[in-house]
Order: sequence, then structure tokens, then C-alpha cells
Amino acid sequence: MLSCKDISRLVSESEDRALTRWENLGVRLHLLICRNCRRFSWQMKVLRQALRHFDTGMEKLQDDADALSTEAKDRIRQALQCRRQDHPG
Amino acid sequence: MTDDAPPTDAAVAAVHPEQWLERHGDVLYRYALAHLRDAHHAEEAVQETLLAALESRHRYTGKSTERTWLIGILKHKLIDHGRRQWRETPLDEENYSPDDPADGAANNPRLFDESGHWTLALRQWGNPAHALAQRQFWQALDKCLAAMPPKLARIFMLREVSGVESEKICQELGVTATNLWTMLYRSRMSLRHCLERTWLA
Repeated sequence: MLSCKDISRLVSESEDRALTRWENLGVRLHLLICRNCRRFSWQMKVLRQALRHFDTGMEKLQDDADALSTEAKDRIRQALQCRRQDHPG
Repeated sequence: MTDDAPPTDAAVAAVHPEQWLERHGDVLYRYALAHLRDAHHAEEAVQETLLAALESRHRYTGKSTERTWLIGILKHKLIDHGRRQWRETPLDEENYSPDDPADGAANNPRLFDESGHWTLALRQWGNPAHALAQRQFWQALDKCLAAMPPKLARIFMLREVSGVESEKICQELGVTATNLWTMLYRSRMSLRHCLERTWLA
């Protein structure tokens, strides 16, 4: 019988590899009877979706998160200008 | 991407390199910083991205927004940087503290009892769309990612945010699949644990 700890590991790994048929069945049966693991599995789903939309999330934090410093922007601008003069058009 | 109107056919050839930095620089930088956890590397990655974009701007088809296209280029640069950082300091050298709540939650004895059952009831996180629309959710996620051990976070971000395949990460960084799965498991457990306390507190 798989424990909740085993299930948490398998739910995580199911994102990185294909589970075997038995592992899949074990997870499914366990989720039927265990509310905590159902919640865990759902939380992993929320987390995955959030991370896939990370750029959108970063835009939401536009005002209070780290930004490029003025000096950094100047450096990058200069690098871009050099390149554009080398390769015009 | 509120400031970016969806590209139309007329916009296909219209890229604006002179505006990239102002329009997208900060978002690219934050994205890079969250992956690389180092201001210098992150600035470099943004610069390399914009230079690469400048050279291949004729290949921008307008199928995605300019920003999405730039982030696509950035992702490739992040893999390069990840590989370099990994070579400089492999994960083994990092000192983990199993008691640190930001780390090792997977092995935290308080999370599971001896028989492997959860020791606490997990919370309901609700509808993903609802969570993702909340500014507090992203603030908590940002905070929790920042609290993760940098090297663990770098691998985790490559996999989950940039969506690099597990096999590719193993190849590029020279880690075994089993190790990778363990690191990703630890990352997810610690992030989950932190979010539950930070976001829903």
C-alpha cells in the first residue's frame, strides 16, 4: 500500500516522466480515499499552471519587483547601438 | 501583456528594436533574475537576448507578441547560463539545512509521520484561474521562489517555467534522471509548503 509520502513523490514525478501502469493505478486508488492527497495533487496543478504563466505574473508585480537599473539599461543600450551600427538595416 | 496589441498582418515587419529595452527590458530582466538568481548573469542574459533578437529580427513573423518572441529567445539564453552556472558551482557544494522551512520540506519529519501520512491537513487552493488573477498569489510565489536555495531554484525554473524537457536538463547539466526528479520533488514540496503559509496565511 502506498503512503501519502509515496503518493506525493509519484504525483511530482508524473510531471517529469511517464508513471508505470501500476504506479498510475496506485495513485488513482489512493486519491479516491485520501482527501489530503487529492488536495496535494490539485495544488500541484495550480502551481504548474502558475509557473507556465510566470511572465504574466511578473507583469502583475511590475511596480514592486526588481527592475533593470538605469546604469544597466545604459550598458545594454550601448551594446545594442554598437551592434546596429555594425549591421545597419 | 496589456500594452501589446495582438500583431496584425500589417505589423509583421514592424519590430521596434529601439523600444525593446523600455517596453520589455524589465520583464525580461525579472524573468531572467528569477531563473539565474544573480543580477549580473541576468543583465547579461537580457543583453544577449536583445542582441540575438536584433540579428534575427527579420525572422519575427508576428504570430506571437513581440514580448513573447523575445522571451522565447531569452529561454535559450537561460539554458546556456544555467549550464555555465552549474559548471561553476555544482549542487553538491551547497549546504542544505534540513530544518530550514524554505528547503527540504520533502524530508521535513513534521510534514509526514513515520507511516508516511500527512501530519497536517492540506488547504484548498481553489480554482487556478482565480489564484493566478490575484496579485497576492504572485507576491507570495515570488517570495517563496526567492527563499529557495538558488541552485535548486535554477533547475526548477528551467523545468517548470521555461518548460525544458527533463531529458534535456539531464543532458545539459550532466545530472542523472533520478537526481533530477528528486530535486524537482524537493522544489515543489518546499514551494507548496511556503505558499500555503505565505499566500493563504
